[in-house]
Amino acid sequence: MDLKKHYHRDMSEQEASTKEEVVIQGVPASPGMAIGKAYVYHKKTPEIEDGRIEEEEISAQIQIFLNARKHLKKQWQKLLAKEKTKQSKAILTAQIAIIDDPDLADQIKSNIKDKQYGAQQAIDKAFAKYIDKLSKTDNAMMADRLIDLSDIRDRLLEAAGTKSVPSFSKNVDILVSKEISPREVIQLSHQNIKGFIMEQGGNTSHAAIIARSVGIPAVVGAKGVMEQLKSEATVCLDGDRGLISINPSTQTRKRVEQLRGDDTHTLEEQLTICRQPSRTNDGTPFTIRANVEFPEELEKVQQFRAKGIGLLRTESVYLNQEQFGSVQKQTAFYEKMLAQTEDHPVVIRLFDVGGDKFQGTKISESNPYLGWRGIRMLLDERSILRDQLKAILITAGQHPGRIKLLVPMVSTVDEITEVKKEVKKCQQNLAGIGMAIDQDISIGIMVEIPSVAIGAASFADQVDFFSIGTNDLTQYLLAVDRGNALISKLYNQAHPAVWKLINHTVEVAQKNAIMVDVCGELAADPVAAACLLGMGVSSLSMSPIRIPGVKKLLLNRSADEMKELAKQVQLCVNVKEVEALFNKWEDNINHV
Amino acid sequence: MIKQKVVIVNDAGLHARPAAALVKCSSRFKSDFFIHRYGHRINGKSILGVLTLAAEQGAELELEVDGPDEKKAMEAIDELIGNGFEEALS
Repeated sequence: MDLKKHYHRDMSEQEASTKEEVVIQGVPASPGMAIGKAYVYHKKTPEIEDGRIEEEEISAQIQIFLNARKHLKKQWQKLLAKEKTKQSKAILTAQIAIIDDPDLADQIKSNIKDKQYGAQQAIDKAFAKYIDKLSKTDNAMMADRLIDLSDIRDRLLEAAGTKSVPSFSKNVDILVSKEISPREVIQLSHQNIKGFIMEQGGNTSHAAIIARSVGIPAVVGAKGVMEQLKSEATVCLDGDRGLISINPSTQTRKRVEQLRGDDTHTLEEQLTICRQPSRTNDGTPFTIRANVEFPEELEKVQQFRAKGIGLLRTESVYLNQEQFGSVQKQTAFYEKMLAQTEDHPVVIRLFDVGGDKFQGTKISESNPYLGWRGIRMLLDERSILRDQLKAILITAGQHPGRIKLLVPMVSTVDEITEVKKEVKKCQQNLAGIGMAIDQDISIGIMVEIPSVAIGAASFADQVDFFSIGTNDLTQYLLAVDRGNALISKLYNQAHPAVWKLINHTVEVAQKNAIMVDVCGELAADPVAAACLLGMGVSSLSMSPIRIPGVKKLLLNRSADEMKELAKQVQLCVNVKEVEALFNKWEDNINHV
Repeated sequence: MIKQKVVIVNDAGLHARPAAALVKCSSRFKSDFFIHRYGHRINGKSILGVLTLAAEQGAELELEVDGPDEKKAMEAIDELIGNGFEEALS
């Protein structure tokens, strides 16, 4: 993972100008944006009293252990009682079973009785045996779980009287640590924490799973963050892309502020908004879907009544091959997504990996964003493509009409032709062995390369839909690497040139009677979302937490107002004008 | 004493949540419950023991139940594993 250090001076705002912005690329673990003060937590192993005890102390030491265990179990049960999501409940229940483990207790007791260790040492030694065994299994998932065990050990030791490990203060904004235990995530989620950053760990750790299910942004595997980041420094984290900005520039702050979850409304208010039918105030229907990567996000998708999944990212399936290596396991993953989205569509994007930025391969490219990624890589690595298609097409056969296949990073029509051939071949094979197939499965492309947007007409008759990815489209169109702090202020998805390309793509789609969706950040900004609908976009897809805020604005405005906004935006010549127009439009509720 | 061979069918194998379900189920019975794999024998009522098996999907295990309610216990455990810990994971 590369670490970029850039000097950034923003003349317009002195406050942010004195410190350099540092950007660290980690692994996205839970979507959403957060900004706040960092609390860098250096975990220490508790100091244990060693030496042997006298025989007459044995029963007292056993009692110390039993009391500590009782105390711990109560704490965990308290946390469990407060939890609402299935995932965190299940994980806490498993942890209580560890606290209660009869073999563990026997070993601790025997360590005290037979070896005459004090309670603390007896606990430490018993855990060490299990931790050692588990760390030797070559199952990466088990290794990810060691933090669960060491956390229980440390709390048990604490309850048995070791010097207390410094705990975090009540008001932590963003917790930064080498590793974070699931218990810490749960506990802090009850105290309004804004985000988590882990230097190590993967996105299948229990901490990451819980962060996703309770909807708190998180980035893991952020190498170097413990050294670069000091407590009290301001930090932004982008859980969608795995980016961390230390001492963020004004521009970065603004972007994160805009895309942060809605914290002005209570959950109840958000649910009320989402329960209303999706219609503008003059009765024109609109469609909002969710961008999803992990099963734990589905609870929020249902809560906020998204009409299915507009973008199912599959990169984590690719990167966690150990868990998803077989077609069967991949199929189970897709099946889970379909099972929990009623009868709504699910747009599955093929693996968008390749290039060192995407961690998927060992090949190093000097310019990975312009390199071997998405469909370019998949067509060279046919077996990966075929396995994924097989898993998707098997699932599609069980849910005809619901799955749409989305091809990333397409730049030529030939790439589409090839994918279609592969789909057909795979379906013939499936049908040949008597499996159900979805004969009319929709195949669409990401419109994220400027040449594809400009030449949309030559793609339109080859595909069933377009999905405009505004994040990469902006980056390619404006020639700005958004991860580069030196130039990131030039990155703005509301740039008039981006709007021109979107408008052109929508016109071409309409002429060819195919659907056109938008799944980038632009769709998650309420006014931009209104402008997209005004332009004629078929549906918007966004991170689930963005739905209430966007929907609230769309419900309160009319389709005519949105059309007018879409017309006006095309007259803008620079970002400033677009921003002024959007601000005016947002304030001018009774306009038209 | 009854012995029976089973295969782990759920996707992710015997990770924390299925292991917790297995322990919860077997602990309802008086009979002792052990799991054999690769010559190891662990207490099936100990979640840490179950986790150290690191049994992935497709792993073959031998169950051993011994006690007054062994038949009922074996039935319940076999069903839980056979349906892929459906309830615990749904």
